This record gives sequence, structure tokens and C-alpha cells, in this order.
Amino acid sequence: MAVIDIKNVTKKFGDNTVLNNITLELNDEISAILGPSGSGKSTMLRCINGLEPIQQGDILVDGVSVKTRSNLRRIRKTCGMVFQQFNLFPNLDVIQNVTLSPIKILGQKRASAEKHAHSLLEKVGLLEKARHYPAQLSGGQQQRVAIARALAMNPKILLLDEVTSALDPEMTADVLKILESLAGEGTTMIMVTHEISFARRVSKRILFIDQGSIAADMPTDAFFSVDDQRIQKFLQHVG
Amino acid sequence: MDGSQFFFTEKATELSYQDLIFMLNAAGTTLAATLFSLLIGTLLGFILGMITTFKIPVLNKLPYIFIEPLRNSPLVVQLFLLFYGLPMLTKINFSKWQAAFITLGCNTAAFIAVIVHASVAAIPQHQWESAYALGHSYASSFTHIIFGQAFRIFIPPALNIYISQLHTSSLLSFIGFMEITHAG
Amino acid sequence: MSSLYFGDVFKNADVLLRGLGITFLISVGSLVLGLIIALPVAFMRNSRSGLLRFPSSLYVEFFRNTPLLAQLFFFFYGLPELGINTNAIVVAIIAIGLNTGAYNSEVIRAGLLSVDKGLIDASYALGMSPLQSTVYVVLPNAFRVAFKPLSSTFINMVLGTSTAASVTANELMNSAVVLAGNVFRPFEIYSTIFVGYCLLTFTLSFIAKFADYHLISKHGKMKNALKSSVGVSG
Repeated sequence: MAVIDIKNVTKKFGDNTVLNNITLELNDEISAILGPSGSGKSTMLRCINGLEPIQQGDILVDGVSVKTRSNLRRIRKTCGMVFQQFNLFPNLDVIQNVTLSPIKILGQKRASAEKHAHSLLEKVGLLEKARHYPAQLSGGQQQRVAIARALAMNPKILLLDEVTSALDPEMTADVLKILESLAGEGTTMIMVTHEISFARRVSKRILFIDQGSIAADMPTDAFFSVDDQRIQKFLQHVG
Repeated sequence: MDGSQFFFTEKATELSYQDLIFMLNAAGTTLAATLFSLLIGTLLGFILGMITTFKIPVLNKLPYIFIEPLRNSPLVVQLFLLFYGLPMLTKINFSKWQAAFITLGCNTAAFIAVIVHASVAAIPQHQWESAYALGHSYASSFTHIIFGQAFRIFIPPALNIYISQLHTSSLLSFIGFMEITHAG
Repeated sequence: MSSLYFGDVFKNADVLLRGLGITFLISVGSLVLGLIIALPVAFMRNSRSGLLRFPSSLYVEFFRNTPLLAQLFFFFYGLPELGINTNAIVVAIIAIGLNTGAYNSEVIRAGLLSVDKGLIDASYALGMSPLQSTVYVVLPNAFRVAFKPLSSTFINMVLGTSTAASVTANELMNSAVVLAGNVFRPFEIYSTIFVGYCLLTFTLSFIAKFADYHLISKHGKMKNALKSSVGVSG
């Protein structure tokens, strides 16, 4: 059974149709969503966990519909999300950022939440920054904390929205290293990204979205050797 | 001679029709005089504010001797101090109206000076550096390059100050009313 | 022309100090009332519902666009007409509290709007309800931006309490006027309270800067700085 079931979804911003009748099944694997800017990739991700409402169609996450408001909390526990702009809470230090939701939403006790947070921070290599504030961290460090924060909710799926686009090459490498190790552990990830070589390395399936529709949907190896003009042009552009 | 004639002690319902006419008249002249004192205050404030932007060590702090006390005390206290205090120290005796508008003008000047300083300080240093690199003097840089930009930043907070000074001057317009009803 | 003599001021210092105490009382009362009103009004002004926006906007516009003096009279003479008979200090707290509440609500509103939408997205993505998101993420971050302008309006409000003298509240300014009537040393008395107000303001400013540094700035500067739109309440 598919983990995420997208059925005939149309999404508009005013008169602008961003997603045009998309039907798609995402499984328990690592998928990368590629495509030109403005094609609707990030929007699709944001529709999956209900941050953006959809006008037509439905999305079922683990069998639960995204259109019912009361389901959203459950869906968001299932899908963790990491954002391009990190979005760490400036008023809280690192450990508080990571433990806030587990304590308030999952009902964990502070001690066990902090223990879990410590192990996650260690995994992303930032344990010594636990009591620092986001403003005192570099972009790459903030993003790694953001990953730990998303993982603290024990999600089944990780949604990654261009998580390295706001980082310089060195920090990008740090973050990709973390993601690669997560991939090795078998974490289900759906990533919107411009890091083509990274996508090629870790993902099993590539989705190519162009102007609101799915232009291609195939296993990774097939995608990079397919004889399609549009895809080849895109790959050349992105290098 | 206490200050109570500055304050309103009659009940509103005891006002007669004629009182209202007087009040409106007083309000009209008061408004004009208020605007005038805001204008004078702005000019004075501009000068003081500009001095604070100069790079001359002691001089650019001098205006604060004037600005800080006026910004950090109530207008009414300043008024009373001027109206009652000055005659005790010098031979100068202002009328109630004169005292009121001098106080309003100086008070406005203090706030405007701070805004002038902030507006000029908000212009990035590289604007000055580019101007100097092109051969401008301080005065020329300011006139041609800095002023226009600073003025745009200056307007919104300055408008706020004018509005609040108009509110405060309502306090002063009551003095005019009391002048008329109590025959001075 | 008499020579200056401050002795009479010192002999009657207790009168002035009592006045100062009343000033404190009015200030604190108005601050509390102002904040209690400002927070919900700020939310109402930002709300999507016109039913909430209309009365809150009416309230804010009324109290921001009329002089504090007029508001004081409005309550001083108006409340007894409604059958509410109370002393001048309470009237002052009500009028000044409502006045400062209107200004504060604008500051808080701007603070709320300045919170990065991404933070709200992140809080939802972590499973928080709108209420939880508001309480744990939006409010603390709005407060960080609003604190400095709020302390500024508070200090202006303290200076504005002197206007309450015109409705017979016996705070510092009124005490000085009464004392001047008894002792005939107006310059000494008024210059003393002039200095007194300045000291009061400097102290409050210092405390505000200290609090701002230790609660907020120390942990790193935020990108969006609220441009100070100071509302003078008197």
C-alpha cells in the first residue's frame, strides 16, 4: 500500500494553476522531485502535510485524508518536514527547539525528550551547541538542527524542501552527509532538490515536474539515461 | 498665585453658548499659533539635529544638553518652569500664551532633532564614502546625496511627532480658554 | 526678584514624594490595563473577520486620534453621568490605560506581523495547533520585536500621567502645583520635579535597555527590526 496517495490534485494560487491534476503514489522509499523553478515542486510537498490547501482532488497520507482538518495533526506526526530557510525558533535554544514539539504534542516527559534530542544532536554532529541559540549558529548548523528537530517527532517520512538551496557549498556538503547517512539507515525521504548528483546517489525514484504536471516518473538509473529532450536539456542546465 | 488657573475646574454642563463661541475662537487662533510653533520647532530641531551629525568631538554632543531634558519630562512641567521660573531668575516675563508656544516650540525641536539625527545616521556609510571619492565636501555630499534620502526616512516619525504635539497642545489651548473666561 | 531658596522644597519633600507615589500608582495601573487590552485588540485587528476588526479599529483610532486631555475629561465628567462615582486616580487609570492600550496594540500588532511566516509553517509541520503555534512561537517572537517600542510608549505614558493633574488627581505635577500655591517657591519646586521626571525617565530607560539586552539581544539579533513608531500619550 502506498504511503502517500495523491489523487487528481489541482492546486491554484488565485488564477495561477500550480499543480494540474496530479495523480501519484509515493512508497516507502527515497524519492527525489526535480524540475525547473516555479514548476510546483515545493507546493506539492507543502500540500502533502497540509500547509497548503488543495482545490480539487485528495491526498491520503497513510490512508488518512489531508482535506479533513482533524486529520492534520496525525498527518504531520507521520511526515516530518525540513525547510529551505531552516525556520528554527529564535526565542529558544537548540535543545528547546528540538524538544518543544515532542513534549507538547507527543506528551513526552522533558527528561526522555532531552535524552532523545541529545542522541539526535549527536547524530547531526552538534551536541556541543545544545544550549546555543539559532542566531549564534551558521546556516549549515541551523539546518542540521532543523533535521534533528524534525526527526525528534519520530516521523515515518521525511519531507525535505530544497534544504540545501540556502547554503554555501561547504555547508551543503555537511548537510548532505547527514542526509546520506539517514538514507543509509533506511529513512523514507521525499526530497525536492537541485542537488542532482546527490539525488542520483541516494534516491531510488525520480519525479520530474514541469509546469504543474508530472513530466517523468521512473527509477533513478532510467531517468538519467532516458532519451527525452526536455529531461536532457534540464540536466544539462543544472549541470 | 498657584497654577490652578491653568486647569479646568468648571463642570462641562455649566458652559454657556457664549463660552462655546469663545472656545472655538480660541481654538482657531490656537491652531494657527500651534502650527507656527511646530514650524519654528522643526527649524530649530533641524539645526540641532544637524549639529549632532557633525564629526566634531565635543560640539556634536552639545545639543543633547538641550534635547535630553526636554524629551524626558512632561510638557506641562516645562511650561510651568518657563512661565514661573524664568521671571525669578531674569527680568523676562512671558505672557501665558508666549510661554506656551515657546515651550511647545522647544519641546518639538528636541524630538525633531533626534529624528534628524536618526535619519542621517540611517544612511549607510558607503553613501558618504562614494560622495567623498567623487570629490564632494561634507556640505556638498549632504546637500546633493544624503539629504534627499534622509528626508524620506524622516517623514513618517516626524509626522507622528507632529500629531502627538497637536494633541499635547490641546492642553495649552485650555489656557487660552481660561484667559478669556477669567479675564486674564 | 527673589534669590533662590530650596529649603522649602526639602521641608515639604513628603508632599512631593506622596505625589510621586501616586504617579507610580497611576502608571502601574495604566500599564496593566493597557496591556490587558492591547493584546486581544492586536489580534482582533489582524483577524480575518470584519466583525472583530471593526470595533477594535474604532477603539484604536478613537484613542490615538484624540488628545489624552480630552479623554481624561471624557471619563472624569462622563462617568458620574452614568452613575459611576469614583475618585480621580481611578479615572486617570481608566483613561490613561485605555489610551496607552490603543498605542500598545499597534506596537504588538506590528510585532505579530513581523514574525516570519516560515516559523509558523515550521510549528504547524511539527504538529502544533494554531493555538499552540501562537503561544509557543508567535507570541514570544512578536514580544522580542515589540519590547523596545513598548517600553518607549510606557515611558511616554509615565510622563503623560502629569496630565491627570488637570482632573484633580494628586500625582506629582498636581502636588507641585498645590505646594507652589502654599509656599510661593515656584521655580525651586518646578525645577525639582523637572529634574525628578528626568531622573525617573532615565532610570526606566536604563532598566528597559538592561532587560532588552539580557532577555533578548544577548541571544542574537533578529533580522526584522521593528521601526520605532512611538506614540506619545500626552
